[in-house]
Amino acid sequence: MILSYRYYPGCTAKGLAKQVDLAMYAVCARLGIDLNEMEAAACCGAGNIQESSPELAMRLNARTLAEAGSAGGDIVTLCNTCLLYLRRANAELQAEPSLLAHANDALAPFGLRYDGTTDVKHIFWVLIGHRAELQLEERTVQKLTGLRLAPFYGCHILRPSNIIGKDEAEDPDSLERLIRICGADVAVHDRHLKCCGFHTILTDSSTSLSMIEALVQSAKGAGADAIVTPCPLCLTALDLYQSRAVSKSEQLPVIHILQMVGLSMMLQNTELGLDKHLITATELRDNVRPAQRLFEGESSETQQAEVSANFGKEDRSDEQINA
Amino acid sequence: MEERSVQVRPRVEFKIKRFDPAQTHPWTDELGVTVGPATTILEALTYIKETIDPSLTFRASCRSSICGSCALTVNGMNVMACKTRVLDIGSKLAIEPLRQFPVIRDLVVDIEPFLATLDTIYPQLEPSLSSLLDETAALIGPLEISKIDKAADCILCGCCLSACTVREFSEHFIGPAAFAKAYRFIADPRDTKKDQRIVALQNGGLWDCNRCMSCTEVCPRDVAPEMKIERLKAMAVNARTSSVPRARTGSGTTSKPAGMKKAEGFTDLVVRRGRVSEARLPFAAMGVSALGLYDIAIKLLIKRKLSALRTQRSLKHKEVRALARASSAYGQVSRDVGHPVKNEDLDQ
Repeated sequence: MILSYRYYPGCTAKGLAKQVDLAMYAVCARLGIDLNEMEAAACCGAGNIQESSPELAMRLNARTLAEAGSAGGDIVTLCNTCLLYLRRANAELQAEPSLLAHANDALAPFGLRYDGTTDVKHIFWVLIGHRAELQLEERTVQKLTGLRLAPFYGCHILRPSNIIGKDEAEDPDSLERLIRICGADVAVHDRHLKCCGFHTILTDSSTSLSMIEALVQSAKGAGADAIVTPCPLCLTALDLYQSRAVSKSEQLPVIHILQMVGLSMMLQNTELGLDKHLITATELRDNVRPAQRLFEGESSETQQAEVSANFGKEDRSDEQINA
Repeated sequence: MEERSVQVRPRVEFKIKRFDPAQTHPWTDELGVTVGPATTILEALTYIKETIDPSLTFRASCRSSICGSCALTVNGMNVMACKTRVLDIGSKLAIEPLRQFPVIRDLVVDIEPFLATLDTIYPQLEPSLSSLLDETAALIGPLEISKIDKAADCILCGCCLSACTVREFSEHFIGPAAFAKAYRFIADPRDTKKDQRIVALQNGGLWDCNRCMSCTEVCPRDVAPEMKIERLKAMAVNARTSSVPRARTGSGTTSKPAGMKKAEGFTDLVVRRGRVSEARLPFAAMGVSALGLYDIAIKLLIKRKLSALRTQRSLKHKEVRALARASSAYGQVSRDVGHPVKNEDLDQ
């Protein structure tokens, strides 16, 4: 095992988007990423607890950060919203000693104390930032040639950049790069940085459905076979509610980046939970141009070399990505 | 004489969206301009107007990011033209007027509808009569100012409304600037109109903000409007559970906005189980209307995925309950990074 993290799955990856949790374990096992799941961690608040009981939200996240720190590890999550609210709580606790002391007073009865040293990362950053150590390009052997994937970042891995810490909120390309590593084509469309509407889908559904409709039409217009996102909440909004926003012929499957990486590592549909999507995602593998499949013949060396060459040009260090 | 190295001044490609009300359709002009390392977008536009096309129309005044006149959409992002250097954006710039605003000509938009949204939130301080009569009672200290100074920094440039993903599809949503402006008054200890403001904000779509953070990202003055919206929601929750008579909250009726029900229900579910139950959340937010989601439940059943609605409890979830019992329902904590505010100093 070359990398080791405390794994924070959040609520949705243990509920409606269980397939993402499955894919997380399957992909990380193949890549040698050691996951130590935080089974006692509570919800990050997802903005809701922050609105109804801000003090509780801060304490819950301080508890999660303290628990990870006590086992000596950084947190990795697969969810954009968990990433943002954990990172935000962390930044606030680190910036304000009295806030940290206040939170530690509340945690003391449980034998927990947060020292402010835990970092919170997204598995997407780990894959991109450590791609060389993980041998990501070598291990994604079944290049998804011919598959056109529309990137959809999801808000909370981009904004606000002072919390997320990435330097590319205005013009990111990391998701496009990951798609290319997997050998798929990028369906370039203009709503890749917009919102999926997840957080208001129950309370202002007409606006949320308009967002879903606009996104799917934008991806479809770019010739996408599917939408790929790093966020299980975007996945849930787009997979469960898309049928209410667009007609059947216009619908697109939506997958998590871990499922995309898993596909190109020749993991089975069931190992990646691709059979658990409401909009059929099991046929994506069929869109891969058969001639390029490794298991059906030899790999296209030229194509691999091309991907490596392109990738080198866009090289960005881990520090820059997580700065 | 000191020898200086000669820097190559790069040529940048501008695509400028144009509109003339006398013509039916907007068009795009493409032109190349040589810029220096510190050339701002406003300087480049001024150069184009003075030397290439005098008909190009844009708005600008102070050139110091104070007046808020020159906000634009550049490569999809909203920026102040006077504050943004061309080469910080790149070598290809697609320049458009602000989005969600009616265009008057080229890059000039009509800001009247934007200003009208501010009228809905009573955009002035309403102090008590006694504080008007007694000068010392109207003074507030540095700590109290620190609560509102960022919100008071808004220059009404319109970047946040242009970037707002909710406003794009929902015209009744008054938008981030109006909410941030309301926060400036509602968090001011001298203000006496807090309850009415809460009602007006909820009517203006307070609970429809989807937390996309676009406003906070583009704000050139670091107002962080989304953070203010979050605090306003917390105040609305608090107003319902404490001193404000029920009839005076929530659109003038006693019914709670769905977003408030969701935030409270979500919290209750997490307190009970450590994680939110996705099967119960729709009922907490929507009441019996959640039954309208039956089609999705049937599809989950067909996919043998209904069990996904059984959210696993987290281990030691009793600790969450204990933490909740020890937390005040409205124990405000500092949440403006870089601008810490002590708990006891926050909103009354």
